[in-house]
Amino acid sequence: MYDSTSENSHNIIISNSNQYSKDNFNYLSKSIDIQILLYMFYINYPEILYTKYDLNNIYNFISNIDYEQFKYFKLNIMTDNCLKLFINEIKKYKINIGMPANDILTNYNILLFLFFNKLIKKDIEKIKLLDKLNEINKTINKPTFVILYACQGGKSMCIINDFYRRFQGIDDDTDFINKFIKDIIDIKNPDASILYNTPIISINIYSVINLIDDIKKRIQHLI
Amino acid sequence: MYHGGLIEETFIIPANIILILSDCCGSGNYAKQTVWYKPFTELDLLNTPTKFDIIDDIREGNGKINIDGQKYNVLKPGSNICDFELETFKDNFATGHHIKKFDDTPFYDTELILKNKIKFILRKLKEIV
Repeated sequence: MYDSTSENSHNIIISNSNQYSKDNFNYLSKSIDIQILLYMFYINYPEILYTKYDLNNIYNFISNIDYEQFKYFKLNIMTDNCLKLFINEIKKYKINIGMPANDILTNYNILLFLFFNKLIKKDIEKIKLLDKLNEINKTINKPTFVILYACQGGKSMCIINDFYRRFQGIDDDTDFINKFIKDIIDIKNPDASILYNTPIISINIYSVINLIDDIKKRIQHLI
Repeated sequence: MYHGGLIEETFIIPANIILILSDCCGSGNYAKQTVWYKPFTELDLLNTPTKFDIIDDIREGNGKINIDGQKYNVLKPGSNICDFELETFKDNFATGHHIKKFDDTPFYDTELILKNKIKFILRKLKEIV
C-alpha cells in the first residue's frame, strides 16, 4: 500500500537535513582551525591521516605540537599556498546527499559532517561546586579568588550551543540535529540502517574511505 | 563555562577561597555569544585582572563586581551557601578550571585547549574510520 504520510515525512527529513547541512557546512568549511589542524597532522603523518590510525603517532603529534607551531601555520597561510591547495583538493570531490541537484556537498563536507555529528554525541559529566572548590583548595594553599562562570539558566535555555563552544560560531537547531542524529547517523549496522533504506545521504562510511584514499593519492604531489 | 543549577545541599566555602558567583542564582543568567570568548582568536589579548583592580572593583561595588555586564557577588571564606551542580561533558575544550595569577596572560591555556581539540578530533576520526 502506498504510504503518502511516510513519503511526506521522508521528504521533510530530506529537506530539513539538506538545509541543515548547507547552513552548517557553510560555516564549518570555513573553520580555519580545523583546516590547520588537519593539515598539520597530514604534514607529520601523511600516510595515516585518512587511512589508518596509529595511536603512538597521534600521541607523539599531540605531545610535540605547541601553540607557537599552530600560530606559525596560521601566520603562513597567506604566503604558503599548501594549506589552500590541500583544502581545495579535498573540496573538489562532490557527493550528492539528496535532491535537488543543487544540494551538492563535497567530500570535505562529508568529513566535517562525520566529525561534527559525532562530536555532539557526548558524555555528560556532573560536578558539584563544593568538590571543585575542595580540589582547588588542596592544590593551592594561598588565598585564592575563584570565579564561577556557569550558565545557571540550564542547558536547554542557554543560547550558546555546543558547536559554538567548540568551534566558534555555529548557531544550530539542537532539537533538529539531535533527532537527525538519532534517525540517521547513530547506527550500529550500516546495512540495516535508515541510511541504507532511505538514502537521505547517499553514502556510507566505506565509500567515504575509498574516496578519502583516492584524495590522498591525488594530493601527494602538493606536499 | 558550565551549565548548572542550585541543589538543596549546603557547604561552607573553604578558608582560603574567595568565591565569586553570579548574583542571579537559580534564575536566568544566560550566556550570550557576545561575551563568549573564542580561545584561538581572542584570548591572546586578554589578561586576568590585576590584584589592585579586582580589590578596587569589590570595594567600589560594595561586595559585587561586574564581569562582562553581569553582576557577581563576592563571598567570604567560611560563608555557608547552597551547592551547585555543574553540568559539562567530556571534550568540552573551554570547560574546567584554569589557575591563573593576577595580570596573567592569556586568560585560557590556549595550548592546552589546542591539544585537547586535536586529541578529540583525531579520536573521533579513529572512531569513524
